[in-house]
Amino acid sequence: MKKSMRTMALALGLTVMITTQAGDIDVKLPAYKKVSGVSGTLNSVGSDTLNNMMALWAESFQSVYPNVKIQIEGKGSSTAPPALIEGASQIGPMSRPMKSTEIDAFEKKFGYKPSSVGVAIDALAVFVHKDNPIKGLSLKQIDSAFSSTYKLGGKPAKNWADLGLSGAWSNRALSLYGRNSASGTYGVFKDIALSKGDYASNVKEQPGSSAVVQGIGSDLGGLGYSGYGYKTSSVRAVPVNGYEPSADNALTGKYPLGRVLYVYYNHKPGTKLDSTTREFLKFTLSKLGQEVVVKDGYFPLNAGAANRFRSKLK
Amino acid sequence: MANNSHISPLGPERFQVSKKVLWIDRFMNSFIKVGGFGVIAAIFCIFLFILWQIIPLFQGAKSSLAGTVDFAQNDLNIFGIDEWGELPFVAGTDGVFHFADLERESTVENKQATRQYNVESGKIVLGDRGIFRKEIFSGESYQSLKFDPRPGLAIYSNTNGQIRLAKVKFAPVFDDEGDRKIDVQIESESPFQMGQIGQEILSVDVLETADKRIIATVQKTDKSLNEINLLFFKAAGGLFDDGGLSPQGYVYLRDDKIGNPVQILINGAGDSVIVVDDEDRLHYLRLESDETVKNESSASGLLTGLGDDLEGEEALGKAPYKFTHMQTFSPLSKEIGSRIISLQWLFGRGSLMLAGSNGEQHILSSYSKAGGGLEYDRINEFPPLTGSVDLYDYSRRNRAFLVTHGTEVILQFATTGTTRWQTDLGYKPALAAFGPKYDLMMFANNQGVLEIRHLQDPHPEAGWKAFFGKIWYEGQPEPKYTWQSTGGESSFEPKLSMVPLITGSLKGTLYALIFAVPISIFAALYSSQFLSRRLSKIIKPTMEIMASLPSVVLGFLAALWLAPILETRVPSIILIITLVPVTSLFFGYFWSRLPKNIRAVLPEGSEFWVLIPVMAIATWLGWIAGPAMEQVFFGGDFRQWWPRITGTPFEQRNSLVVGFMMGFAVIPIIFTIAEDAMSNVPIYLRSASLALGASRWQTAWRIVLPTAAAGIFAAVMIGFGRAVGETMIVVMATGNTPIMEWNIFSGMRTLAANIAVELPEAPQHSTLYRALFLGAMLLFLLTFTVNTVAEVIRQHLRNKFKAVSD
Repeated sequence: MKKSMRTMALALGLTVMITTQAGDIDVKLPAYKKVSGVSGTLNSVGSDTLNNMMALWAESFQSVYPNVKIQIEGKGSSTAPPALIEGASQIGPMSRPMKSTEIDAFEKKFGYKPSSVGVAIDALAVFVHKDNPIKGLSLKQIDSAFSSTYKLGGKPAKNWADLGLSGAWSNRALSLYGRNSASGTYGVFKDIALSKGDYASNVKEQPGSSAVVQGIGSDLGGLGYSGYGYKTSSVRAVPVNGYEPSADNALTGKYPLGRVLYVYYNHKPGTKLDSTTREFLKFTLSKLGQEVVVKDGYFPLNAGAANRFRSKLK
Repeated sequence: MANNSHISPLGPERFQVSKKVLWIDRFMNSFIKVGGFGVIAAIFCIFLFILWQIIPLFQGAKSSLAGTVDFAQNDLNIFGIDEWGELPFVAGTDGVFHFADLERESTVENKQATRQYNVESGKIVLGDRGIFRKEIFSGESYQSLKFDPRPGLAIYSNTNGQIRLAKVKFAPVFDDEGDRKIDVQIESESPFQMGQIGQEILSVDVLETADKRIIATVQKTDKSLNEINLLFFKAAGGLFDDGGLSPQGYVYLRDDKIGNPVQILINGAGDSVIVVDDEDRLHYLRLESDETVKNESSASGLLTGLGDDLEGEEALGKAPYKFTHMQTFSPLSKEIGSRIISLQWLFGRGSLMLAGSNGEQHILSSYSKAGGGLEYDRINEFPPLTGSVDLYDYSRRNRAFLVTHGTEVILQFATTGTTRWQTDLGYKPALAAFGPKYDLMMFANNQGVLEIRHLQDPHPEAGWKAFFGKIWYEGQPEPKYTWQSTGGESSFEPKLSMVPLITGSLKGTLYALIFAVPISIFAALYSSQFLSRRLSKIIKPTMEIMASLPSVVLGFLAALWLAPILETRVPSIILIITLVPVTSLFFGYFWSRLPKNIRAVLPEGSEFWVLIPVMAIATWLGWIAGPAMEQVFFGGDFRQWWPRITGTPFEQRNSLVVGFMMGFAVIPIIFTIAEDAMSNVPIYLRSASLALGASRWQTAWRIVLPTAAAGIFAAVMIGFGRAVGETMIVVMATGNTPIMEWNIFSGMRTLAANIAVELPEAPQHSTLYRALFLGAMLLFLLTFTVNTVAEVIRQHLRNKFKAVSD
């Protein structure tokens, strides 16, 4: 009885979500309140997936605090920890959680662990060329195409016939695009889609998400992955395991490649966090900040999650 | 001189040089010498610096005794330590944990520096809290206890079929002065009943990840065969939530192919188990979802659990999983009479370390068979021990593991199959383990004396074999040369073979030179020997300007403009490459047959005005005839024809594109040096040749080319150096795929591009950082060797033709 009530509530929740549509942000998100005494420089080094979003946040943050200078560099999530450790940056956007070895290195330098807040949700998208007729892919098929270990138990896929296409497409070879190993996207995709296996050596490693999308867009046999926010008109994001990459599906976990995008920062326990960093992070978790997330093509946090993260910023 | 001349116009003084000139002369002389030596010294220093960076890669592990801690407990089953190395504990099956508070002093000058233990006569001095105890239960009876430091899980099990889990959680606490203390909490859960009450637990394994937990047991029954039971938990919370695991249900694993099971192990992904039976056979079973069981708990996802009320427990039913038997094999079938002594996971729970009774040590891993489907097999082995393994533990940071037998301890690395460190402890340890960070090792004797050792092994995954040897990595079907330096999480096994990168560098260079060398040398020959002086004076600087094109622009053009065009036009390119030289030759022949008065219309050195339109037409013809040729010879699509015929892939970002674009960078350099060499051939040699009746072509081919050979060779070698070190074009125009094939229609990753791509992500002094320096060193040695060889050959050639050119 209890169970059925719950299912109903869930179904209701889902219908509400569907009617409100992806892209709309949670009305309960707090508005940003300006505080005094925020100035100085803020350096951000890290994820390429978050790069555009950081730039947009920086722009609107600077319109609130004209005295703040923000510099953003986005070469890949793995560049964030070295920059935080060396003090070259105050915030490090990352599209994956930090690895234990990276936390070790940080802790060795500072004596405490780095802190983080989640700032947005991404459905890591699997893109094909816009003319590709494929209906969808399963994780097993993706593993067959991208991996050399086939940990999900599939057979090696070399051309589009192996992924279920016929006719003129069947002999067309798969041309695989991915990110370079500095990327968090690279790591998340490897963990989920390859079940922590290894990439095949013929996956072309592109230096940025836009290069991946551009590559697929100009390559008829192209297949690749990147953050959903980088989608262009020349590519198409295919459903994975039968679910479209959308806010609902990422949130409910039905779309398997959903992930949280993080910003890491250096906060010594027992001290007050530097006000510029604090206010910037608070800003990203505000209504205004989450509107930026939607503008950049990613999915916003709900109020519960945003408040939870805001409470960490003291 | 000038001011002396009026005094004594004819005296010997007029031959004297002014002091100023002499001084400048002397100064410049030594200045240039110092400068020259400075350059050599600078290069040498760079060499030394790189060498300094890579030496640690080839060093073994070091370990030193930090001190001992006496717990004075003799009933201990497990021990562990926090990741800061300040709060070790021992525990027995009685439910009591004994912690020892070790204060590690940070040095006064630098709080971040390595913290030191205070040691007095070999014993580590205890802090304020001394040795304290925490009791998590009493009045319950357990017979065995295991500890897994990665989630910090102590697993109690008893003869009644009950499992009790306790999680040891360490956390640093900072006081107002910023001093750190390690706090410990033990979260104890109420016991779980596995199987039927009274079924003794023989083996238990627990996997706990962020979103699930699986408990697997092998239990004794009143029948002849043991039984396997699994209990599944699923996270109700999302990614932002800690814990919140709720039980999902049981699975009773029954499989006729498994004889009498004695041990069960769950892999890291939680999607398969390994069962060992009493005949030393291993059974590999995969977990699959069972649609017949309707027990789907729908509360999963990224954000659920935040503000979502958890419901009360329901009676546990069957979990919606079933097992598929994949494989049965006997890993020790070749070693007659040897039994399995220990079978344990390595870090990541993807590979197994198997120890046999005759001292064998094997690494087993699952990999994909040629026809699809996974199976386990031996991938690596270590030199056998003289006896069997007593204790085993694996590092929670990398693929290192330690084994003890008798009083001996050996630290080995599974990937490379090397022994990192070994020693004789002088006593037989009762417990042995790594610290959570792979910076400590601990051993305990059965009186409760704990020995803490520092472990310094910053680069366990490096070594000659790792960089230059074929290695059988976890999950791969065979030993390979692989470069894949980074993964998304810490259990990733770095693959650092330099061989694909060296191959890539040579491949890129080769294709660039194949394209650039003929064009630039013939261009130089034409420009220096046939073209009118007036025009060649324009051509040469123009070519030199071409060299100043930034390579990032070339790379950009290659990736976004040239690659998509070439992809669809390969047959056209083939046609053009053959048509242009052939028609030029035919046209030359035809031209030479023309009556002299027609040829005389064009002055000598201006014939190209007629040739250019011919070449343009040939190019255009090739371009438009390409698709037709594709239809006739390549079955309509070259991109599909090539893989079908050669078995090698056709990639859009391929070596042809790189060859073309890198050619653009290399052609001007080779051209201008070769042109200089040919123009500098003494005019009397040419004149003599022409005067003796040789044609211009004969002169150029037989006289100029051999005489200038040394210079041309130098030009090619400098071009080689440029191509090997070229970075931006390769980074942008190839897929940076570290592959080991020479196929022209696939990409590559060069040493230089690899450094550019991966340096930003390499933390200073990490293995990757040093491995990139090793790549730099190889690049340095490659160009150094080629240039030296080139210089030797050049000298040789110069001497050979000295007689003619001097």
